[in-house]
Amino acid sequence: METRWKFFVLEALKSLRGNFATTVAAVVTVLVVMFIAGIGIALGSYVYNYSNKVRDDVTIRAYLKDSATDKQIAEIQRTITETPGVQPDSLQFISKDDAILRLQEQLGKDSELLELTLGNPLPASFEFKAVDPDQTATVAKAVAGLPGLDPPRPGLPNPDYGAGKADRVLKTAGTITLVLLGMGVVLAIAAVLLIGNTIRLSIFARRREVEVMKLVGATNWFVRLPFMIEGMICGVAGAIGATILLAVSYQTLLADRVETAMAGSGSPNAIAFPLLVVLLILAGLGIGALGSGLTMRRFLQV
Amino acid sequence: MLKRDSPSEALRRPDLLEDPGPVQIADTALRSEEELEREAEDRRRRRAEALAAMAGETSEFQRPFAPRAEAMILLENATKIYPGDVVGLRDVTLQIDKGEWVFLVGPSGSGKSTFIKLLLKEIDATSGNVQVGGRSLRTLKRSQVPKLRRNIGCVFQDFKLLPTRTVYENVAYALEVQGQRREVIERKVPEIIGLVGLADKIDKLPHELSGGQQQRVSIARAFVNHPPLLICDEPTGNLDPETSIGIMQLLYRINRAGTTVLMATHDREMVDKMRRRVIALEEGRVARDDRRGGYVEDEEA
Ligand SMILES: Nc1ncnc2c1ncn2[C@@H]1O[C@H](COP(=O)(O)OP(=O)(O)O)[C@@H](O)[C@H]1O
Ligand SMILES: [Mg+2]
Repeated sequence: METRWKFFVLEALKSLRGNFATTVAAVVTVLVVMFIAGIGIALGSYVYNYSNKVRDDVTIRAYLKDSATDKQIAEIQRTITETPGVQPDSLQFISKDDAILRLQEQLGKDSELLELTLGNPLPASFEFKAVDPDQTATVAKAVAGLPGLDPPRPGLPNPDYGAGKADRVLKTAGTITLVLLGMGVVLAIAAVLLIGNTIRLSIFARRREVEVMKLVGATNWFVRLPFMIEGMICGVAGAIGATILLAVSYQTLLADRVETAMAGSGSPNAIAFPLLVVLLILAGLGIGALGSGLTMRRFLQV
Repeated sequence: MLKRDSPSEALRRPDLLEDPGPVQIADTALRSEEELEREAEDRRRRRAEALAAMAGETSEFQRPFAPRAEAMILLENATKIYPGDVVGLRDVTLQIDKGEWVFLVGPSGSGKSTFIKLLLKEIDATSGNVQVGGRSLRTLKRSQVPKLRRNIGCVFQDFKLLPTRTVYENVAYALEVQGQRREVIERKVPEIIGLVGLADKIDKLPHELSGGQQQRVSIARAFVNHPPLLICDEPTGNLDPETSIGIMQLLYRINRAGTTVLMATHDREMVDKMRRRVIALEEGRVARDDRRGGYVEDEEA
């Protein structure tokens, strides 16, 4: 069996060398398709994860007046705990000191100056979540307007839960993904046709061999397999080229910025690179097989 | 489907390669089981004929179209019409027995190649029946066609060798394509190349060989599996008379080892000399079917 695979792969490689120019055209097209698909998948998965995170992780913040009395604060806490649909263990009291500490952590050491110069401008707050993220608005409403809460101001609702943020993110991402998908489909069709063309030429170049094969009783799959492998080699070569290009362009263009962005914990991740590579190579195989399969149906009646 | 010959004794005898000589009827050791069987059947048939003649009936021999168990090739009203109403073969009914040697003659366009393509199921009969090795080709599944072709050796006027492959590789190709194991290939290929007398050319490319030598390579490829049926479409058509004789002797030895040989040819001298069964086609019909015929109809007939 081992010798047979060697036989097929050698046949395919020999034939690819034979039509070098068309092979290169097909491989480059696959490469472009896969590059775009790679960007699309990475970006799409990132945005998808990000919007999920935003959606699942909606924390409601109820900001308190600096002048709120202990009694008012206790009353607000009681109302929140007794509101149906609130995640009981999610309730957290953030004092003014906690808030400024948190901000300093996010901004780094230098920001200690901030407190020294400005005092502490941050309000104390209650943070809590709804059990069901979709119920966030309802739950938030139950707390709204309680005495002791900061009154809402234009652009600064209170309680605040980033209303509509997830939807806006998803909508933008959807549009981008759709555009990439459309480009990908058009280019994938081009790739299938170009691989088909390579295979057609190689069927033509080897028609004598095919004739002899049939004559000596080669089975259909035996006649077709070298051409199939040829197409799949084109597809995989393009996919590998694309992953290399993706890795290189990520390293040179994006890596620094992404690392900075990732520094804050809990950032959403894009698809893992190894998984992306596997996906692209499988897609390359598929495009190659499709291209040669369709061509053989037309030009290689056995 | 067809019974695969065991490697034939006669072909393995190196002394037979030097000079085929006359048919040695007494020498049973040189003949395959199948050939012996055939002779036994021949005797039975002659006896049956004699008996039938006494009873005033027509013998099987005079009705060659009645199917018998030992038919290698059987055509019943086989007709092939090409697109555009071009007649390839029209209403041909005949039988070729196992072990027989048959010449297929007729002018260009008379249907010889069509006949051969039908047997290989390269084309299907428009109507009528074609049987090879007892198997009807009309009901033969597509997937079974390779199996059919592995049991039929083919030799053509243009050799159909692969120009970029050596003699060894050309012959090995037939076995590779059939998925044979490497050990088998490495054993069988040099053996058959030796048998066709090209041991010293084994690593040459086809263009480094003469026409006759190239045809020997194609015969080696056709016969490396010892198929029970060998079909030749004008095998000496591109060769000079001297070379042709060598090729015919090689094919003759293959036939004597038990393989049925069907040969389309224009070689009048060869047909007249060998006095074998001759089927003459004309415009797709069988014009003549002589047991021991010449290239053209005998004067006395
Ligand atoms: N593929 C084909 N398509 C149409 N007509 C064909 C085809 N092959 C053969 N023919 C016609 O069928 C007839 C018999 O051809 P063929 O069997 O090749 O004869 P031969 O081998 O005796 O010269 C001829 O008239 C030929 O032109
Ligand atoms: Mg012909």
